[in-house]
Amino acid sequence: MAKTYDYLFKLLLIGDSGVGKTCILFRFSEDAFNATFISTIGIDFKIRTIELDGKKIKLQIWDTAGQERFRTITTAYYRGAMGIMLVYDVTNEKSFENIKNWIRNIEEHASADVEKMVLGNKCDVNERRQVSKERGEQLAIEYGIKFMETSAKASINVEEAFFALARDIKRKMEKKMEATNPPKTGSHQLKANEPTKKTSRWFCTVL
Amino acid sequence: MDDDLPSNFDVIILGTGMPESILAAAAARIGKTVLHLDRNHYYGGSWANFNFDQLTEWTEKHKVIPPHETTTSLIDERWAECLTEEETAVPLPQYPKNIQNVSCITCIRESASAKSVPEEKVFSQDDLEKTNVIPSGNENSENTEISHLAASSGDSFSPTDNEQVAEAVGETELSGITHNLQESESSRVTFLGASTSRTNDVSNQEGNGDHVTREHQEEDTISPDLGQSLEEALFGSNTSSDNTLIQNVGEREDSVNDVLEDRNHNIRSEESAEMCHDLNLEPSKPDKKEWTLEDLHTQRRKFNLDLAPKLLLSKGPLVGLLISSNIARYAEFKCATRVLTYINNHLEQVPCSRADVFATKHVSVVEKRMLMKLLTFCLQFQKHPEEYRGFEGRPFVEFLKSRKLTPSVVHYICYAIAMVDDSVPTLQGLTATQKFLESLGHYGNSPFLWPLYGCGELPQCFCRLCAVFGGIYYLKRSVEGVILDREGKCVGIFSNHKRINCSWLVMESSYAAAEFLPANVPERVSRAIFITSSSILPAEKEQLTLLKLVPDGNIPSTVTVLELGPGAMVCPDGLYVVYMNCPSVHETAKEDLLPAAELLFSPLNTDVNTGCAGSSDVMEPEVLWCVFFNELDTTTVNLNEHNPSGTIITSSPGKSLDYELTVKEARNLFQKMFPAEEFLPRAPDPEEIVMEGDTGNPGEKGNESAENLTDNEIQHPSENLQQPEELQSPNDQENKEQDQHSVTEA
Repeated sequence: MAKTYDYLFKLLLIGDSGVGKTCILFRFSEDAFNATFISTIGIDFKIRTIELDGKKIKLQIWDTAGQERFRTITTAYYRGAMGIMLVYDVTNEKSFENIKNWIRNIEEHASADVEKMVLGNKCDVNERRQVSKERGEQLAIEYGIKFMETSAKASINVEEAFFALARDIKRKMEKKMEATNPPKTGSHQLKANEPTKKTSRWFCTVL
Repeated sequence: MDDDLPSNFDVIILGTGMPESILAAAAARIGKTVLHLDRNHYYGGSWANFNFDQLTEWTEKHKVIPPHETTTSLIDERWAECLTEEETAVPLPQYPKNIQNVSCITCIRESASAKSVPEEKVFSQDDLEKTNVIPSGNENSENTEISHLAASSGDSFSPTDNEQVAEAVGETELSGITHNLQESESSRVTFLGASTSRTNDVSNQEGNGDHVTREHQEEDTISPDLGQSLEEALFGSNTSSDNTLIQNVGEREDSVNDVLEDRNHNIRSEESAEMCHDLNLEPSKPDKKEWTLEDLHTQRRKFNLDLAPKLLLSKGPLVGLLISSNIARYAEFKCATRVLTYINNHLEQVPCSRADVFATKHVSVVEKRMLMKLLTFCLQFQKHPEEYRGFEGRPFVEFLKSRKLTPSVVHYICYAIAMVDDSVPTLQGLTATQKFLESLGHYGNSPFLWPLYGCGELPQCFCRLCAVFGGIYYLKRSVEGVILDREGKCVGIFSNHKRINCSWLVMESSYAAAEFLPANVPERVSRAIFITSSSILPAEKEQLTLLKLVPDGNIPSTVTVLELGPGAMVCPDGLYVVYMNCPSVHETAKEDLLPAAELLFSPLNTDVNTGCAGSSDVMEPEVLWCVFFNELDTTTVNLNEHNPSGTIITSSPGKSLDYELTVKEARNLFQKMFPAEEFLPRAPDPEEIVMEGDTGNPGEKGNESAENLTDNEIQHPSENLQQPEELQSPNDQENKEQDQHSVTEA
């Protein structure tokens, strides 16, 4: 059967409200940036297919749907996630401190071997910086995960970050595949019998 | 509390159970502003799903009898400040009483230390290899073994734990049942006596054979039997067993003319059954593991235990709603694999599909023909009214008996397929049978689907959609009162001493003030959750089992039993979870359900000293831990009679097996709130959303949607039925087999 990709990875974005998760998502999936996103209304996930070592990898990147605001992310959000981007805002000390809480949250709900990465977003806004790059690196070392400073606005490191995360997942997965043939548990995703004709597109107004 | 919640919403919803969550999603979907609150720190309320520690915590919390509501503080000054002169406030209960008689029994020891257990057998690598050779024709077996080892190496558990049968040893806690204690002692004596007289005899080996096969369940779908390449297996119909794979294809193509294929299938499955029988004769040592409370705690995250387990009918309204609203993308499902019934003092698999009917050994050839004929008739009974003329008002059982069916076939149809009792009239019985048969074969060998990770996922899926459409979620948030205007219409709530206005207030019945509810809620449901060491009816593969126990002797009312294994993502390897519920008859759930537990399980171990290893040849599963509780059943009363206008009250999970009532309830209530609006229209796929003013590379997005269309076209070649889909989203819970789900080869 002709699939246009070799692997499908489910990735999550996690972090406090306003750190720029949705902007990162749009920079990566659409190469677009809009500073006036107010919240994450209507955004479920975005898809982009990338190529790594000759393999086409479909990245399905899920946004929090604003449920991070009062720490009400559903456990269902974490199911099946293979990679998680933990995002803080370098101009917001609190969002950096909360990374530890988010890691704890992940440990409780996500798969134990999920690949993680920390992103310090808005690194273009140096004049209001509250968290130095060194502190970000230090935190990442402490938890043994990768770290990058990014700017969705200036398009710094966003591509690189997702490629790095995807590469780590792919490596881990292929290692496992060498050890075993992929068995299945036989679960179903429910789909409509016939795809609804895509006659109209949905327009979401940017405020 | 300094939250920055807005103070006006179209809809405020209290409680995150199933009907509330469906309503939340439906309201947000049509553009209403929604605030969704829950008093608990978790989603789901009475529909929640817990890991082991969370369930223990829930148990402890609900054992405490809730204090009386204090009504004195109700109009405190802060409230008065927020009210206009014409408004009044009604306090809401802070200590709900919808859960009662929580009783938890621990049948295993606290930890493995200080044990008086006889030497524990260790499953050596030799044994593993030996067992591995057996499933002939299965080239994947060795690889799987490696994966087992690799996957569990990071674990605190040895690789062999996966295959080991748990041992129930230990002590009941405080409220242990004393009459059971004696029983358990005496039966243990007999059984110990029996075990000494045996060496590695058949009963031992049967247990072991079970492990062997269970170990291989994972690669069954890629069985070379089917001549399927790996790729095909990956993309093909995604069922839990090769048997159902064939049967699925057959049934989907035509529900009448595939007898031949099914016969083939039948032969094949009998062959494999024989193969497994051979396995059982392979001499091998019994392996076992003594599970302790500490183990359950260590593996807590592998448990997903439901307070209100239910199944979805494949053609039922919830599956329809999930698909039509596009919420199905948030969840994954597994088909129930068998329906059991208790007949002639033992458990038997009910033949419900055509393949089953031919495969069953419990029914003679003549009976098979009669059964097939009847099932075919039931599928379209409306077209043949002459067949049941004269029986319309008479019991279904009488109709079945008039068809010259043998008692066991009558039993199958009446109690296991229609799932009705003796008093149910014929038309209702036929309708129930038809409903069952119509849902059969769409996703597998039974009409039922189970949501992976448990039913507690489902309300969360609706909540996610609500959030995607702007709904605001706030858990662990109490609501102290409701504000009514001069006409008695609800205009808002007090929550954390903050006034929040709304046009509609939806609340789950346990949130509602007593004066909003019917004076008397007469019915309750008795529920129990058991963690057990083995299946109630071991089979060569892990099964997802539904069983209805008919009222009889000690069993006071029809008990619905669900048994799930690790493949359903509800418990660690080597364990099973059994759920029971029935309409309450006695005062406590324990009284109602203990007889059923005694029927299916070894006597609950209540004595730490006698309960020790050596019980490996007990055929019945042992219970490691269990909890009983009663729940008010508000599905049986009209909740929206006495409530203030502007409020909606939703019901508890109730005793029904599926979600039909729940979806109907949510749909009706939504129509009451927003009569002109569409109920959960399809949510757009991400690639259909175009940001206004976004000119960014349309090429990429174009490709994306084109790709999806192609996928769909290929996967749905003008089919009328919903097809089982190759799952596309990865799904790994530190579980080696799950990790592999993500892999979708081109």
